[in-house]
Amino acid sequence: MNPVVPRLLAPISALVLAPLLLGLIGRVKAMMGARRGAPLLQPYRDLARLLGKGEVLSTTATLLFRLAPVAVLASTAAALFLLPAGPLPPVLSFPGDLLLLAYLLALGRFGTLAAAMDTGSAFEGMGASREAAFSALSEPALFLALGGLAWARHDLSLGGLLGGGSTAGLARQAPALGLFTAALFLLLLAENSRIPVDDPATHLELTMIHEVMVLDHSGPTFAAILYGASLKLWIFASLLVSVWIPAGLPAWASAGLYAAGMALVAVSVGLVESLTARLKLAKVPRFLALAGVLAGLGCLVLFAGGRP
Amino acid sequence: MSGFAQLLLVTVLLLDVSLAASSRLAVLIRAFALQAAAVAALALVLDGPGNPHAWAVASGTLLLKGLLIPYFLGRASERTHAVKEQEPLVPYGVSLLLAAAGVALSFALASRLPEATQRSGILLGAAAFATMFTGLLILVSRGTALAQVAGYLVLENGIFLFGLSLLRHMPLLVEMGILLDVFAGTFVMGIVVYNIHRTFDHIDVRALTALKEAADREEGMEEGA
Repeated sequence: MNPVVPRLLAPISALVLAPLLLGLIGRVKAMMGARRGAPLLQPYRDLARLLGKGEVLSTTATLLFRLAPVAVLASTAAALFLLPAGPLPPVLSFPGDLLLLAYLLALGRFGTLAAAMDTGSAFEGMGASREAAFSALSEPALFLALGGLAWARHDLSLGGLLGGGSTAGLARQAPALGLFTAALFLLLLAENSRIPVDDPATHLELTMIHEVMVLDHSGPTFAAILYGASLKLWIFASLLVSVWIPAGLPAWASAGLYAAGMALVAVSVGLVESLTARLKLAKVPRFLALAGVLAGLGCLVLFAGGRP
Repeated sequence: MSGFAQLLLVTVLLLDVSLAASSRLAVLIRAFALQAAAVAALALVLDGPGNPHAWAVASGTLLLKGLLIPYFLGRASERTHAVKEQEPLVPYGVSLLLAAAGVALSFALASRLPEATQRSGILLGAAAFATMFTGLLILVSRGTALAQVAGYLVLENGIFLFGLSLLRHMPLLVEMGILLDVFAGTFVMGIVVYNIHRTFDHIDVRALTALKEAADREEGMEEGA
């Protein structure tokens, strides 16, 4: 068999399973609210429904508006090729590819921002400005966390810094890795417009951040944006989980751990969303600063642990 | 240093950061209690569980600083209806960043200590400095008396940690003396807080500069009665 095919399994499984994470989060939130909730496969149905619909365009919208969702989906999907998944190494890997990951995600964000400004709606411009401000704050924290992980594992490629831990190394570096994981989890909540930062289910434009930018998208392009968002959530969850999977396990155990970890992340996001209130917009920078502080603290602990 | 001790020290550092950023008195008191418990456990872990000395120090610390003092502080905050501080001298966001900078600074400081004092890696020294710095920060940046008491207690946690990093065994008598001092100090400060509350209807110490005005008001009230 061509050796490329099994390696492609990692991005393919992500492409297929990503909306399931959203379904799981929704289910957990419904259960916490004592409701039955939508079926786990609801996000797939939503996507199929949107794909079958027509599209309404604002009169001020240009070609940019139609291209942006494609850019979002393409850049996020490309980022999937850099990530390991359980027993599977990443399809593409080279030293420093963590920068490529961060900026592929940033490219997708730029696409949404540009499209939001292109519609000429004041609401969407406001959302774009918020998203730009908060992403500028979350980027340093992301690099501190990823850089700290690279330092811990002495490897500058995502495949190595995420999947290279031995069981003994994991136990020894647990405090630092825990801090990096906590920072990444806060970033996951912020970057994927989850509750303490943004409410994905809100219906009030004034309070939205991410959702307000995509108000004018409809039909297939909106499906592309939603699907891209679920892929982004998958990427962040995968970063979190991969850190804790020891190298050298049999393939089935590693794959099982990976799947269980992803489910655990989705359940924790659902729990956080059910149990916490949304932060005031003015407090979001403090939330992001906290992520940065946690990652920085992890680096310091690593520094301290480096000496006997 | 064992992984568990490392975990405890990281907990202490995290609590430092959260102490500096929390506005609610109840959170402040609970975080202090948790930190005291972590410090007590650390005394036990570092000196070996087979040591009766360590047991006495750890249980004394846990009982006084982990349980009794937080309980009394909680009651005091209930009685004075002080829930949270709205306007500290230093905003909470800045306070968080200052505490983080303090943690970084303490690592730099701890790595420059003479080798003999680094008995269990620089993490212990760094946690001690960071906790002292956070205590000082809370002490100077908050306006309510109760938050300042908490700051003083956090500072004492840091000193205890520093003692752990310096000494093979903390002399029992010294440690018990310090604990007694802290308890008596908290007791006295509790009375002071209560009196401030009775005189001013709040525990904002910044208003203490306006003593004369308040005294005038009280006189007026007495005349009215």
